[in-house]
Amino acid sequence: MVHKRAFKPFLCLAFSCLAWGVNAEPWQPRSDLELIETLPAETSARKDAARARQAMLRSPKDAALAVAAASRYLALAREQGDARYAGLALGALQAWPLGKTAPTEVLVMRATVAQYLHDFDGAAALLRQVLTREPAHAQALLTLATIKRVQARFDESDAACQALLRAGQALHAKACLAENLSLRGKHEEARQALAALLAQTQAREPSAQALRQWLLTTQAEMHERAGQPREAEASWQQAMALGDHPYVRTAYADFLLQQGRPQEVMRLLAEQPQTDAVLLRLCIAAKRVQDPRAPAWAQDMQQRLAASASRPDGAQVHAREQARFALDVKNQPEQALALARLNLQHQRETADLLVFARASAALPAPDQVQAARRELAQSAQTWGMQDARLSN
Amino acid sequence: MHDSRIDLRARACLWAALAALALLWTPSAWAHKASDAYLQWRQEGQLVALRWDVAVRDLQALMPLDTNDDGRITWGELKAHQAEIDGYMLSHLRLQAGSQNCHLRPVPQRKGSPEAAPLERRSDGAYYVLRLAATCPAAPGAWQLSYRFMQEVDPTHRGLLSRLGGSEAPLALVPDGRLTPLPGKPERMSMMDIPSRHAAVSAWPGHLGVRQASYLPELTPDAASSPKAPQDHAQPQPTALAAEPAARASPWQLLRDGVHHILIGTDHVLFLICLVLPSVLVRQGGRPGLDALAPVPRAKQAFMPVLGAVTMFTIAHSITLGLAGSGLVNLSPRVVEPGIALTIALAAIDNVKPIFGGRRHLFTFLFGLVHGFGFAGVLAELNLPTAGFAWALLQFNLGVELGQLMVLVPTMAVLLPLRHWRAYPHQLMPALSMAALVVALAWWVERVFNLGFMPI
Repeated sequence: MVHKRAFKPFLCLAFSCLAWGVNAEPWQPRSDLELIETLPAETSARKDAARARQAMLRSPKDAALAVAAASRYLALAREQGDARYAGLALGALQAWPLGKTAPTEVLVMRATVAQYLHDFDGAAALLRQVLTREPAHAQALLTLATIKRVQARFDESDAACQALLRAGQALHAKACLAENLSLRGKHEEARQALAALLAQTQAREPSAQALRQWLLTTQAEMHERAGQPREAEASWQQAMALGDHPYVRTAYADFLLQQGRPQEVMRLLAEQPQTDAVLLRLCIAAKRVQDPRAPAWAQDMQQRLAASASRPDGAQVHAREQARFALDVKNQPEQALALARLNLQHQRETADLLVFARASAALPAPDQVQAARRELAQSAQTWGMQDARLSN
Repeated sequence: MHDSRIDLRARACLWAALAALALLWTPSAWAHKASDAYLQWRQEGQLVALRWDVAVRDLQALMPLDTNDDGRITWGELKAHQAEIDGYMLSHLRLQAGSQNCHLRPVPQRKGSPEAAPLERRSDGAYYVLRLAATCPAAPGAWQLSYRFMQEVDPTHRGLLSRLGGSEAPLALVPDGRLTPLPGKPERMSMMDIPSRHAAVSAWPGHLGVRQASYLPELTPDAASSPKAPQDHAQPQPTALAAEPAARASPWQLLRDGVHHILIGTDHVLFLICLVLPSVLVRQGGRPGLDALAPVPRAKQAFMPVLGAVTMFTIAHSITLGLAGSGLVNLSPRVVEPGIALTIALAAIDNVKPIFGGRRHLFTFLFGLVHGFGFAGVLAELNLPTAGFAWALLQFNLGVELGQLMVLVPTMAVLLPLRHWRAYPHQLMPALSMAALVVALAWWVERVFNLGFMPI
């Protein structure tokens, strides 16, 4: 434009500043063969989901088909760590207005997707609606227990676990209760309960393996909270041996980072598809081992976080990741603490408390450290959470 | 041409800023934010321009773009669906002024210009860019948008809407078709406001790239009433806004643009000053050396050389401005811009050591031809309406002349008394000319090698 000239030095500066924050550049493809987008999913899984959606579109009144399509998409979202697929899952269910006329399975599926999208209150409300209809709906109870646990409402979570026990799902119910025990710091009771459950599930069939992997993951996290890294390591190894699962892999990576073993994280994740979760851990590990790829990865992560945060609710939803990035990659403990505090408003898993604690410890002034520690201790006490790592 | 050059320079500086990371950074298929589209709007009177970027992945969810189903979408595959895409997008966005519909139409893009790039690369992949314009009836009430993009498939989709130059956070449009008032106070915008617009864009919160600002469709009546819309919404098209320059913010806007262009065009100003530096001196005895220079006895004697030089310059640049402006002749800015720098350098040298062999007026004329192409570049960026083009050209040219006068009058007011100072003919005038030479050569290097190191 005509007047850029006068502003050029200024613009140059602005470009340099923004270059770090955001990247969006015009793109003129040179030929029709130029690749512009790769669809980020295994072709077969994506085709499965597309087929399920086609089936649903052919019979739009069929709730079962819609739920099937939604669950395919949600599975893709989990596998790929991709929120777009969760949006498509919700889209498959939107033909049914919320309320009394909606089929139960549609409501449960909607709640499951809402939970994945961190809309915990919305999900809980949907599940309550289901449970007034069918008080013994196992999936609704288990999901509700999980949501209440994430919100650090352990009594409500316990109640849902107990109802699950009455509904005849003993194994899931006991694991559910054991995890709550562990979060409250009752590690020995939790350890015994989980050991008993693991002894019950020795079967070789794949469904039992998935269940076993879930129990082992719970056990590993329990050992971490109890301050028993060696036992935690053993549980993680067993869980990892039972198959590749994105959650297990990133959670183990977090354990390794916590234990000061970034080199192993590099090996664990370097070949993995770089989902947001994987990339965040890679950024942290690469920085610690001074890998030459660290700046490029950090740049990519920064771009993604900035893009996510441009949504009004985006900042809150990704606050945990933002906090970890600010603390471990950008060395900005104050900003990390603010983000961790924002995050704790709606998400109170161990990882959320930990990032707050680590950000507190990294603050420059001792009185700031003290104040932040007191704040966290008070919150943890209010919520009834205990973790050996928080007191270090 | 000025703008293109500035674009080149701005681009060079952007690339310098991005240097290391641009090489490393590629959009990752694994960046997984939720589905967002980006909308930017601006308004000028009854014209509204809207730029709308949607993710190619979102389009794929709406319609199977991946024709050969290999999980990879090529530009050809997308292009094959372009009419379908535009049709879908246009039928899922509605703009209202008060209770009246404004007809949104795609703005035809000049092929090949960077402003017309059909895609945008973002951290989570490729985005398809649709540039729209609308003429809205003057109706009481707020401007409102009804947004339904992705409504059928993804209720979590949001359209992040911001006013170009607005500093407020973007408004997240929910794809439910509800009428949402456009954020920010609509205001009239003239061409003169563009710098502040850039300033505001630079101060934007991080989520929108600065570069997008220049890729909005220009608000020209042409664009708004383009007949090339793929879909017709069968609404009566408001015809009040004919393609007349009067539709601009003010009838004399182009004149002001011309003036403004000269005043901020450091190179033109420097050339003019170089031209008149020796006008207050006279060469005694026809000898070539500096020592032959002496102040003109009377101020009146300086008047004729200045008038002569400026007339030559004006006639020449009017010719090329007319030729280039009407599209008859076109010269690349890669030639014109270094050429302008060269004219300054030569004029500066001639001040100290005559190299034009006394044919200064002829050379001024030739140089004027070069500068005219430079002015034409600006004109092209202003997107003049085709109807009334001659009038617009004349206005702009008059503006340039006026701008010249505004430079020359104060310059002469300084030079005339200065000529009696003993150091002027033999020290100051050559020193100033040499300084101009240095600047011009630096510009030349910068423009030939596309470097962007000069602060002006």
